[in-house]
Formats: sequence, structure tokens, C-alpha cells
Amino acid sequence: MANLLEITNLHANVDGKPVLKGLNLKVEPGSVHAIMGPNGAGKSTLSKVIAGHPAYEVTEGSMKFEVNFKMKDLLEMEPDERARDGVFMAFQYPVEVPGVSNETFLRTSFNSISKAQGAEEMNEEQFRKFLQKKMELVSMDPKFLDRAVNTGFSGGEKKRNEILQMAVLSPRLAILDETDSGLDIDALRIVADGVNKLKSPDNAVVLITHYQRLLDYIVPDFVHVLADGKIIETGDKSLALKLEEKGYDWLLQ
Amino acid sequence: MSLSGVEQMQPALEALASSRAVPDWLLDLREAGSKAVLRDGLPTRSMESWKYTNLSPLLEGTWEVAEDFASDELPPRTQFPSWMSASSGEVGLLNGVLVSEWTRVPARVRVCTSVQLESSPVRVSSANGFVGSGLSASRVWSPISGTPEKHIAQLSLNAAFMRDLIVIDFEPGTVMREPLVISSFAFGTESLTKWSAVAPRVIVNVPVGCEVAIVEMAAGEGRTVAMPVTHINVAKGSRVSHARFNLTQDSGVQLGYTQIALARDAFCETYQFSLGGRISREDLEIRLNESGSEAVLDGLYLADGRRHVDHSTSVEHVAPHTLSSQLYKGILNDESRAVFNGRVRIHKDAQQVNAAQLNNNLLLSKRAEVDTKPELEIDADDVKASHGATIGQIDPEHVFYLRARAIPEAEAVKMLANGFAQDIAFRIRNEAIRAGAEKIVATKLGGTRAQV
Repeated sequence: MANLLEITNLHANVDGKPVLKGLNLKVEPGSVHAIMGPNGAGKSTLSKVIAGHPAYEVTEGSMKFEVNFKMKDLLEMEPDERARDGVFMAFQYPVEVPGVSNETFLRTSFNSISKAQGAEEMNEEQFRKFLQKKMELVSMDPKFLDRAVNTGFSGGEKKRNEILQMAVLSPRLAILDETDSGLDIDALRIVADGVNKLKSPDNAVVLITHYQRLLDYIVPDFVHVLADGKIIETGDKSLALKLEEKGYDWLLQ
Repeated sequence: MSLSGVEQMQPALEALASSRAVPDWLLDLREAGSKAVLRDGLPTRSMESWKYTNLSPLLEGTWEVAEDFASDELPPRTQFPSWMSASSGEVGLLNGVLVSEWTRVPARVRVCTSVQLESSPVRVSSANGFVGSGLSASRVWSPISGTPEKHIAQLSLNAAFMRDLIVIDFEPGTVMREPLVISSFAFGTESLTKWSAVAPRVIVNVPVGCEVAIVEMAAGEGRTVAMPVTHINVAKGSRVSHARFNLTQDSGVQLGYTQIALARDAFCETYQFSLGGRISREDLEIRLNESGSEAVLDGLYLADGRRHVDHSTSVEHVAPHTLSSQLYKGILNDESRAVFNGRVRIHKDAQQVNAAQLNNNLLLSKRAEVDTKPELEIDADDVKASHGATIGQIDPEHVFYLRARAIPEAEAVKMLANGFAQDIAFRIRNEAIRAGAEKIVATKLGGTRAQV
């Protein structure tokens, strides 16, 4: 099967300092990948580079994404173009945006994608109905719709809001950057349920995580170890259990 | 040394002096104003309170008193937003004069022009030509005390160019949450060698037991210099929601002054939206005259092009156990400039006072400029007073977050600017005013783009 995402020999700098140093990753539709690794390995950098954060500079390598059976060069695309083509990153630290209501934000986002795909945009009423179903998926109280995006939300509420956005936008590639960190077990279950319900043979999920715990709820097809800017080991879900037990040292030596 | 603007203003002042269709007390007031203006001229940047605001464009051309319109030849008022339909009534002014065709008020509100007032409501203070206390005891009056210790240029200018004085009285015990709209339209000359002077003066009395909402809408066409002065008197225990929108065209100048005086346990929320005019200067004075009174005074200014917007607030905590909080926000684009001067004075013996002040500015262009200055004068010892100011740009992390959700960059900037501004509208407790403000702000920001 053709790949959804192909990353080849990716090098990237942050503030002029190399963080990714020749990373390779292939993601097929319908698959779940987990990326684990010690602090400072470049996990968050990877997610930001895929999403197109302007502060991260790609110096070498390529990053291709399948759109309508053609591999498009993600590096040539603006972050909002990537999002419109189905790339989604759930932020590790979702940004508080005061003054912009969560509902307006979600609708504008949803309609930007609809417009790009030639689909009809939804009006306020249609969107609210659509949104209600998605909110049930992540057990979110409707009162969060009128509040400003993430403003005054607890850590868990912010993470759930990211999953809600994912549910609304139905991305083809979802990268969850430490979405599990800071969540208690109930919130973790809700987030995992949300992700599991969104899985389909057409889309793929990349979970960036420190903890094996999340993988009890979202079962990965592949587990990768990212260290010093490269993927140094790939295995199935048993690799995560081994890492939990032994740590990373045995791989780094 | 020739005084600033005297030569330009003199012919108009003389013309107005000969217009006598008003009571003697108004003539006296006008004469006092005129004397003060001829003595002092227009404010110049050598004055501390006008340091950052240059009125020299007002010297380009002679002043005339804005023209009178017959009731069957009223100009169209296209600039007023349609949300006024949610109002309880309207008091319509054209060039400072009440227009009965534009005025309809509910039964519990009485509107009087100077000739309709039974007797003189004013005392002429020599310092300012100020509408002051010492009012004859009409049933609905409560006095508004002046501040003769301070010289306020807008008060003299308004008194000098005042065509009429409008008094709005609510009946005691009126509860009316839909706003009474005071719309003030300035229709001036198109000639580049002239300025049309417009000086509406409105006194609003809110007696005991009231909960009312008041919206002031100012708009203008042509080369107008509007000098609107409004006094609002809030009696014991009453509550007022008030907003003042300046939607003047970019050819116009506004030099406004608002005074709100609060009696025991009175509450007032007041919002200034300065959204138009080549130069816009608004002074707001809040007088917390009696214990238990509370004022929320927030404001929003949006400027682009070469517009200049200046706010000077002054909160007088005269009595103990009084509260004030103010948040002014501004968005500056292109080569626009904003000034914020926030003065809080806590008088001697005004203990247990809480006063908070914040001014936040968002710059969308490297050429825009903000001067912001808090001024605290505290003569009591058991008080809480805070102030702060920020000047910043749109956070690139915010822009990235929105772009990562498929929103194009230009749209993201517009949403963020709108969010920054709507924060003020969201704070309005009165629903009808809040809904209207949200719409006006969104419309005004519709074409926003950043140049950073």
C-alpha cells in the first residue's frame, strides 16, 4: 500500500542548533505509530516540523504527504495548507487565545477545510448540531463552546479540546504530541476513546509519548524509539513494554 | 505671542453671540465659555495634558458654527448602525440641536431643550463655564458638582460653541435595560479652508431606584470639529450602563468630555469606543462622591492610517468604600498614534478604596505609536490601587496555532485582533449594548491586516 507520510533523512534546526539528524519514518494509512524517546531526543521538534512551525528550519531531507494519490512536498506548504490537506497536530501545550470563542474558532477552522475541498461551508446552526455529536465523543460540556479558546481551561480540558478539534476536522494524519502527559486516568480514557473512535483504514495516527500507559488504551502497530534526532529502533507494541521496564539506556549504548 | 486658534475661532464666536433664541442663562454660559476660549485659545502641546496631541490641523481654516437644518431638509444619517432598533428610544441631535423628527422617548423619560426648562438649571463657574450645582429645585434634578480646580479645555470650548442644552430626566424607579440612544450627528462643511464647530451638551439625570442603559452615538460627515460634553448624574442606589461610540468619519475631529457622578451605593459601567475621526480626544471623569459607589470604566480604541486617538480618564475617589476598575485596550495600525493617560485620585479620608487600572495595546505596524501613562495620587492610607500598561504585537505562537487549524494567516491575524478587541465588548454587562458593541467592533475590524 502507498504511504500516507514519507519522511526521508530529515534534518532540522531550532535556533540554529541541529535537533533532527537524519530521521526516517513511513506511515501507512490505517496504522497507529508510537514515537517514544528520552527528553530532548527531538520528539516535539518532529511534530512541529510536520505541522510547519516557522521557527523550525529544515536543512536537509524530504517530507512527502499523499494527497489525491500524489505525494506532495510538505516542506513547500504553509502550515494552514498542510492542515487543509489533512495534517493535524494536537499541541503539547495548547495555546490560549483570549477573545476568540471556541465555537467560532472551530467553525472557522472547519469551514476553511470545507472550502479548500470544494465542500459547502456550514452556517452557525448546522455547525452547532454537528459539533454537539463531536462533543459527546470527548465528553465535553457545551459551556466550553462559548468560552475563549483554551482560556482558563485546566490542563485536561485543553487536551480534550485538542481531541475535539481533531474529531471536528477528521484529519488524515493526526500527530498527538504528548497528549497524555498531565492527564489523570479518567481524562486519559476519554482522550483514548476519542482517538479510537476516529481511527479508520484511511487515516493514520502518530502518538508521541513518554509513557507506555497511553498505549494500553490506544494500541500501536509500530513503536519507534527516537534518540538524538534519529529513529534508532522500531518494533511492535512489545517494544513499549520493554522500554517501560528497562528504560532507554540499553538502546543508547 | 498669538494664542492658538483664537483668530480662526473668533468670527464663529461672534456670529453665535448674536444668536439669541435661547434663555438668558444659556447666553451667560456661552459668554463665559467664549471669554475663556478667547483668553486661552486651543490647547497646545506645551500643556502637560495635551503633550502628545497636536491640534494644529484645527488651525488650517476658519471655524464656522455648523449650519441649521429645517425639519423637512434633514440630511440622511447613513453612518448609524442598525442595532439601534434594539433601543428603548432615541434622542436625536443634529449639529448640537435636538431634532424632534429623530426623537422618540418612552413615557418614563423626559427630554427638554433649554427653552423648555422651567428655570435655569445652571450656575456659571468662572473657571470653566461649567454646568454646575446650585440648580433650582425642579423635581427631577439632582446637582452635579463641577471641578473648578481643573481647567478642562473641552468644557470651555463646548460652552462657547453650545447651541442648546439638552436635559434628559428618567423618572424615579425606572427599570429599562434596553438603551436609550442619544445620537449626535455632525454635518459639516466640505471646504478645506473651514471647520464646522458642533458642541452638543447633554445632561442626564438618573434619580433613585433606577436601572437604565444609555448609549451615545457620535457620527459626523465633512470637516467637523465636534466638542460633545455629557454629564450623567447617578442618584443613590441607582445603576447605569453607558457606552459612548465615536464613529466620526476620518475628516472629522472630536474633542469630547464625559462626567459621571455617583451618589451613595450607585453603580455605573461605562464603555468608550473610539473608532473614528482624524483626531479623537475623550476625557472621562468619574466622581465617586459617596460611599459604596462603584464604577467600571473600560474603553476600546481602534486606529489606522494617520489617525490619532487620545484618552484621558480621571477617577476621583472622593468618598471611602468606593471601587473603580478600568481596562482600556487599543489596536493601532499603519502610522496611527494613541495616547492613554489614566489618573486616579484617592482623596484624603477616602479609606477602604479599591482602584484598578490597566491599558493594553496591540501594534499591528512598526510605524504605529502609543504613549501611555498612569497617574496615581493617593492621600489616604488604607487603599488598594494598581495600574499597568502593555504594548505588544500579535503573538506568533497564536498565529501558528490558528494556522495549524487550517485558518489562513490573514484570517488568523484578523481573528486575533478581533479577539483582543472583543474582550472589551464581552465585559459589558448590559446585553443589548454588548450585542451592539460586538457587531460594531467586528465590522470595524473586518478589513484588518497586519504589517509586521
